Amino acid sequence: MISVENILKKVDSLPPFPAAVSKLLTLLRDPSVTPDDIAETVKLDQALTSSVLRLCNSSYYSLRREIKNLSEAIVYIGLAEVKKIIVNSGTRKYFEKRKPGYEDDRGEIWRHAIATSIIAETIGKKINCPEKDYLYISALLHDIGKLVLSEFVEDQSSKIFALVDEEKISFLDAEKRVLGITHADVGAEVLIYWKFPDVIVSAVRKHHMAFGEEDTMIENIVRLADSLAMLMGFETSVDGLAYKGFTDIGRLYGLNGDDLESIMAVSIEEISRVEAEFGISKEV
Amino acid sequence: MDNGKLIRIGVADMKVSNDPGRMLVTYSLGSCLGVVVYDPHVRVGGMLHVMLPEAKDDRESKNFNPYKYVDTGIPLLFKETYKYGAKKNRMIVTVAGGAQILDDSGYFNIGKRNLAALRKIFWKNGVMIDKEHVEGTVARTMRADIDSGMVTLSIGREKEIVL
Repeated sequence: MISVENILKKVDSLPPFPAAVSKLLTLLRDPSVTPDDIAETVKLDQALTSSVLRLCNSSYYSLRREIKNLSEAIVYIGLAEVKKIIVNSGTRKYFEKRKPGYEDDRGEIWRHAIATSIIAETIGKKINCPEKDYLYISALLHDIGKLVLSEFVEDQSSKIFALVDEEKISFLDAEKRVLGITHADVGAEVLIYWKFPDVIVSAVRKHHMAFGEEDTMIENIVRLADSLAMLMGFETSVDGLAYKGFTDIGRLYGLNGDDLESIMAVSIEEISRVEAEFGISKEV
Repeated sequence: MDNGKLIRIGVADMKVSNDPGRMLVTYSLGSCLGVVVYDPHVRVGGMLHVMLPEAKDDRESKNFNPYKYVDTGIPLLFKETYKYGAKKNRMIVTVAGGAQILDDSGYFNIGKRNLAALRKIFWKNGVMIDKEHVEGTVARTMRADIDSGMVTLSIGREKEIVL
């Protein structure tokens, strides 16, 4: 029997967020950090090390010789890119260990996560969001609750979809009726358990909530980016585009239709690049 | 169909084939448009997955990708099939996508703008859309069989439909 209590217990049994990744995220917020400092911590994690070296030696950077030294690689690809690798590789394993439930296609939640984080980053640049790292992580993890719920919804998912289809209620309301909790709330619980800062937790919790005057820039951008990701086809398959768009948010930051289009045009290049890097381009 | 036969078209991408054993496919069209052109006489098919209506200033950018936009992608789709002997007057044109998220204000109506741009360019060039499955709030996966020219759509968990 599914109960909210059981779902939250499941959150507590998740593996902890990788220590190297947490440490790096803190390190990278320090403006005086050096490539050597970062290399020291990256070294602790084999997957991260190989990701950084692989990217640096990829055709994207077209360097004349192979870079084998981690500090040197970090200098070449730049701190901003290193941050992304750290966050993406650090979280990827959670997206990969799933049972079917919310996905009818392999890796859809992960693709949606990557797309949303890149779109959020593009919006953040455009409207000068001061907390770029928190923004990226919030957007990347906004649907992490779906991964936890997927473990439970294997038999329940058809009930949720039937409610959406038959009673024309929102996916979120259907989740609440069937499971007693939404993926947004479960996601927030996961991040609290992982000791993420409040700004990230609240952005994840509120990502489907109606816009409120007091909402932070990060919360707003994540919602807008989520909408654009769905429009661009990076939705999470089963719930389609049947979500309400956050028109108020776009207007709050003075973004018009042309701005949305240019955000999409810029983001798709980066999304395609990252998808190729992680080998997650959608196949059958 | 075994996966080796599939030719995948990504977002802002186009592929043309005259190999009867192959099938063109593009996944998850949201507000984007999937456009398939097929000449049954020479059995050549092309598929384009465009994201936005007009290229505007982006045309001048260094790594410009014309398949991102309706106004620059559509001409290339037709031209590429002509290389395989296709003719415009025999072409069967199928369009899918142009969906939107729930929004009464029209702020997010990129799907509608894409469709408007597509109809405009087709009108100017005397091209008729033969079959379409557009708008709404669903994401569509579109497939086109090169041998038969048959175009099918899968929407969410529903059964595949033939257009």
